[in-house]
Amino acid sequence: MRRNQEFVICEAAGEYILIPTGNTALRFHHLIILNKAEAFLWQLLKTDQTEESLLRNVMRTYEVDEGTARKDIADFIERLKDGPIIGEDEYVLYRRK
Amino acid sequence: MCCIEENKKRDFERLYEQEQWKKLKMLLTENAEEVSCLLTPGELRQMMETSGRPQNEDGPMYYYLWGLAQIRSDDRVCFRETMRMINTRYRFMPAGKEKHDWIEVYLNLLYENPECSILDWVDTAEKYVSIVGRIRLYSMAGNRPGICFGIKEMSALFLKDKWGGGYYTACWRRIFGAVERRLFKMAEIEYRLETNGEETVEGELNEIFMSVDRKNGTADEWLGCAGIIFKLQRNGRHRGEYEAIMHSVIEFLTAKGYSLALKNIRAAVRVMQGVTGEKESLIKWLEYLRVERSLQNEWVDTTNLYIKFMQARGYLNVMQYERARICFKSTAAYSELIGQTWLCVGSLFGQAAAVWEQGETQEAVKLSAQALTMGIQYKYTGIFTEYGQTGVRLIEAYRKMTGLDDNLSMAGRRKKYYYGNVMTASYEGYHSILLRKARKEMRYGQSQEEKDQVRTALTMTEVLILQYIANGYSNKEIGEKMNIRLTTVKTHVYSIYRKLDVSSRVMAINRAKALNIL
Repeated sequence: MRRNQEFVICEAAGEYILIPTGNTALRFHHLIILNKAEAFLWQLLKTDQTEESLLRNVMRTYEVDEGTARKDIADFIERLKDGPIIGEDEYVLYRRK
Repeated sequence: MCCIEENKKRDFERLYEQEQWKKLKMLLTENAEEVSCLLTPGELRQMMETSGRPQNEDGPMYYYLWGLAQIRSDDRVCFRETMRMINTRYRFMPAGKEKHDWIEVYLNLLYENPECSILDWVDTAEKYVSIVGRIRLYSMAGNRPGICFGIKEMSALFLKDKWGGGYYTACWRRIFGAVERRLFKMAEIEYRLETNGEETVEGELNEIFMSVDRKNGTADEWLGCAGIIFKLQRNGRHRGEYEAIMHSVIEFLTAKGYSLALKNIRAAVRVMQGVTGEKESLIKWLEYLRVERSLQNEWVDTTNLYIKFMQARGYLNVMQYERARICFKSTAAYSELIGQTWLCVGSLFGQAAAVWEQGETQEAVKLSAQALTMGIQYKYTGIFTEYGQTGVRLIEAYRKMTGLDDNLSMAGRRKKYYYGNVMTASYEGYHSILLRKARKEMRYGQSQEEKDQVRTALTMTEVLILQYIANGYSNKEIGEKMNIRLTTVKTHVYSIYRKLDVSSRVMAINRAKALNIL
């Protein structure tokens, strides 16, 4: 999975916000607020990632136990899977467009 | 001298005070369609509860009032129960007048329910109408000026998407009679004013205003007219025009004793006056609202939502930014809860403008991004152009944040102007049109001196092109005459329009003559 390139991340008023742009903005009509750790995950998703690779990166950067990190990553993916995060298949289709 | 409807309201109150519940129940049922214009949700709820829970012998109109009292006071749990009760009443009934009346009441209550989107409502209504025939809608405006952004926001019906925009017009025709079709037309005009601007409705305004029966017109029709006029008069445009119609609207509402609608109309009128510089009555009104008990707390409900929104805009106009911010915040939250996207977008952007003026630019940019992300859903433009220079700065900040400006200034890429219809515009096109409109409206609101500064002298080429335009040449012919490409001519024409603050060739010629350029 990787991030949808049509979402722009911006830091405003101490929060990270994901703003839909381009064609995505025509079907996705709200902002997503991320915390610092989620913003870090978002940066990682610039390249293709699996849950395991995200977990490894989080464990390397943050002092957190594996169970908590795994749960947070799963929640993050669940929250963003309807637009901001896309699977590899969708990414290929997106590139073809 | 009292009007009949005012007497009715007094009768309701008299019977309520005398505890004559049976008579009150009868009177309320007889006047069910007018009750929502005469009584606040709180008053209605109180009267209905004392009149008693609907019984088997009660007719559909009593159930309607019972449901209306619940949904307008946001009691959704009890409302669902009432809807179930109505459903069981008509489900096994043979087709006929009685079934028609029950279904009409059911659909009218469903129209009031914010949990049901307008598209779902139309689909449901169409199914029922195919069984029982056409129905009527008792109230669409909900005592606010305008139909499109009344009880239910109708924007989704006018979107030019896969259905091509005409699908729901055909559905509406199948469901309703002449009055509701007229109201649908008014809503469409209002929506077009909110998206593409007044150029698209010029030919239809007189026709729609004349279509309202001066004697037998309904409250919704008059409120629909008022909604259109307020949209036309935003930012101080058409000042002093349409006075006869506004006079008729106020006369009608006063005669009928529809005080809730009158309050909303007067709120809008005061804000419009504030925009055009007549701030005295606006300030007096804001001061009156501040001390009036019912509006002192920050709770917003269906009755005071519109007034609260206007109050916020009024505060912004008189530079009371903290008060504006609080009012906008409450209207944004409530309008999102009841599915009123336009009001929510307007409140968020208004809040952003107030916050920007207070110097919290990052928070303002966040709020404006939220508003713009929601606003593109229905391609609103008008609501973003009401905040002058602050609005323009907020839009520019959004463009900078999302990289829209970077895309346009990339090396080797020509700057592109989008002239087309905002409804069919892409993301970039929509934002380009939006910025252009906001800048144009900003200039409109400026003083003559400021305008003169903005209106920098036309270049020689522009004067020449203006001369050709005055002589009746088309863009193509001008291009051939001057040996330049058509797109270049269009760019020059756009530049002339911008500098002269006009939107058509005729207006450009007239303005140029007035300024002694031609």
